[in-house]
Amino acid sequence: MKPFLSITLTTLKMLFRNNQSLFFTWFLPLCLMLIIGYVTRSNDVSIRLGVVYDHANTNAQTIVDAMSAVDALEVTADTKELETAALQDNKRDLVIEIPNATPNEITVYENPSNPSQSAIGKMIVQQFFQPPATVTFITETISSKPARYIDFLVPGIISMTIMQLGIFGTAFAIVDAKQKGVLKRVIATPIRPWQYVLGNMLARLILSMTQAGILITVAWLVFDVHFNHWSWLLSLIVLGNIVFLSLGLFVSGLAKTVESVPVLANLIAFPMLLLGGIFFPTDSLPDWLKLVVEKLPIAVLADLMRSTVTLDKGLSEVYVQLLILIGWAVVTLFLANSFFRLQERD
Amino acid sequence: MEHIISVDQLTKRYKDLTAVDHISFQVRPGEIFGILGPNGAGKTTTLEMMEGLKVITEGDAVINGISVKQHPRQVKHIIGVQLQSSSFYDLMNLKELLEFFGSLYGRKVDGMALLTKVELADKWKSRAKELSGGQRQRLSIAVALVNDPLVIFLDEPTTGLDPQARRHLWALVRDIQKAGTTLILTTHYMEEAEVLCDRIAIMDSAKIIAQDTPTGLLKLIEQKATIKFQVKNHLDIAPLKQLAAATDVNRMKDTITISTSHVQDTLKGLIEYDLTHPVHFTDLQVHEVNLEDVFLNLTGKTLRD
Repeated sequence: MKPFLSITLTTLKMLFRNNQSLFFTWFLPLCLMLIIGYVTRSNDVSIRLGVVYDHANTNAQTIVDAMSAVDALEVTADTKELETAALQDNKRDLVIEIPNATPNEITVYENPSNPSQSAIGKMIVQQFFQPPATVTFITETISSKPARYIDFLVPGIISMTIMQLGIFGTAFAIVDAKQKGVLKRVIATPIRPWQYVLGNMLARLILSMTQAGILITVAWLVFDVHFNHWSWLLSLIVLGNIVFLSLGLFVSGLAKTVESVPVLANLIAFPMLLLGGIFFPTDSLPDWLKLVVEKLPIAVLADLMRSTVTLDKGLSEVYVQLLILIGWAVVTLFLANSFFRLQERD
Repeated sequence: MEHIISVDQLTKRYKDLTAVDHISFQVRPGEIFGILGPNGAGKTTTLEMMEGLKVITEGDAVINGISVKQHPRQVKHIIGVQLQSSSFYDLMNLKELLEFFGSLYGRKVDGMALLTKVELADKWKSRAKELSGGQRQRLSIAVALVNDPLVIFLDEPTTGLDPQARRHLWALVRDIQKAGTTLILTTHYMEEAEVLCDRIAIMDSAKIIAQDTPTGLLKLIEQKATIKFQVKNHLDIAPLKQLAAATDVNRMKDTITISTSHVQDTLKGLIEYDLTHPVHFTDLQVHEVNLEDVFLNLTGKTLRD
């Protein structure tokens, strides 16, 4: 067998036999996705809408009935005082008042603590009051497929696992082999360094794809998350892996002992995990921080996955982000090449 | 071919340290060649330069006509290597491990046959970390054999092993020699070098200070034996230096050591001296000279710290 393939197969075999790493790479992200997905599910799907109207008004009643039929809306009707009080208690995302006298002048009370729910709710509600002549635009997509948190979360979790596997998985395995002297024994064979590194990286890429496949399948079966553009998704996983595997090699080059791997790796990964828009949108961050954070490789990768995969955007709309990610790939490859050596220089 | 290995002025210099200093030696095909010396003498660095693992600063080693300096990868094809650290991937069993290393040489290897050769066949399902020290060394010798090498390098193969495991390994090394393979090994055990090696280079502080067959090395020094005994009282050792054939006298606490070039003469003198000046010696022992004494004689220090 070719040395290169042999290294890939052997690495894969060892990856699948390592129970500890299996837990972290397979089980943990899956659990995370399922738990967060379930916990946030009810809140996502429904926007809590309070309606204040005169029950004798048949026009208004027809509209309220129609709104109640929308899955995304959780409609309650009561007096103005009670409904606005409920909104202040954060029990409504949006309250509307349909006056008897002027049915076209709807008063909308928004909940500032749930801006996105309010905004989405407002857009849905507008549907019911627009004159037929008015062209409806974005509201179409939003009403047919509301932006659910789970659609945001799943690409984030996939990006996170690519990062964790790339940085931690690579660095732990390589520094351990280096420290134990196994790597030296491998170098004592006629194998070329690139064969070892690429063989290893290919194995990790395959693992990463298998894992993304599992997450995507579970997300589809359990949460009805639909991914489109498979070739896009595949190229993004490859590109993401190039960035984070290179960072893993970079950390392997810096770390002298296995004990220093988590310290160095966390220095890179932890800020990205927290701020990189994996679990929540970066919108709520201060502007100056947002400017930096939005360009982190994890944020770019997650966003690209979301916009191109989940929401079905075209290449022209995301090419800037794509260029940023390619830029990161170039930078991290350079870092890996400058800092990582199979053999210590002497 | 007279020599399968020819090392010429091999040197390794670091910034402020010369680890190996212009050493030269030759090894004949089928020989077991030993490099004997204390820790830090430069034995491992020498081996690792010859194995293509460390960059050669100066000089060269030519193995089977191939220069290590110019073609390290070609040399790696014809040598087998056992490193000082004998750890391997923990998640593979022994058979898989051997077959994996075989594939790195582009070879299809019969893992079981190799394990049988080193008497580990019944352990084929084990992981390397589950083996004892001696078993692990035998495994790493099996790994060194995966490419049917012409020359095998063993770096301190018996360090840390108990005497039984050590003898077991010696037998294995001789078996490999019988199959026609040339072996180069390093050790800081003088009895190992004496028993196992056809020729020995003694290395100290980056230099080879002597090289010969074990018997040749023993002839290097005048001393033939050591006489040791214990004394309880204070004893002036100066008169003992005058004993017939005595070359040196040392005192360490209550132990007096007399080096001699002729045991009978010195012993006779000692007993006659005792008649006139009672020494009250106990526990009298006579040792044949060994490589330890040679080393002590050549360098002024002992082999083991």
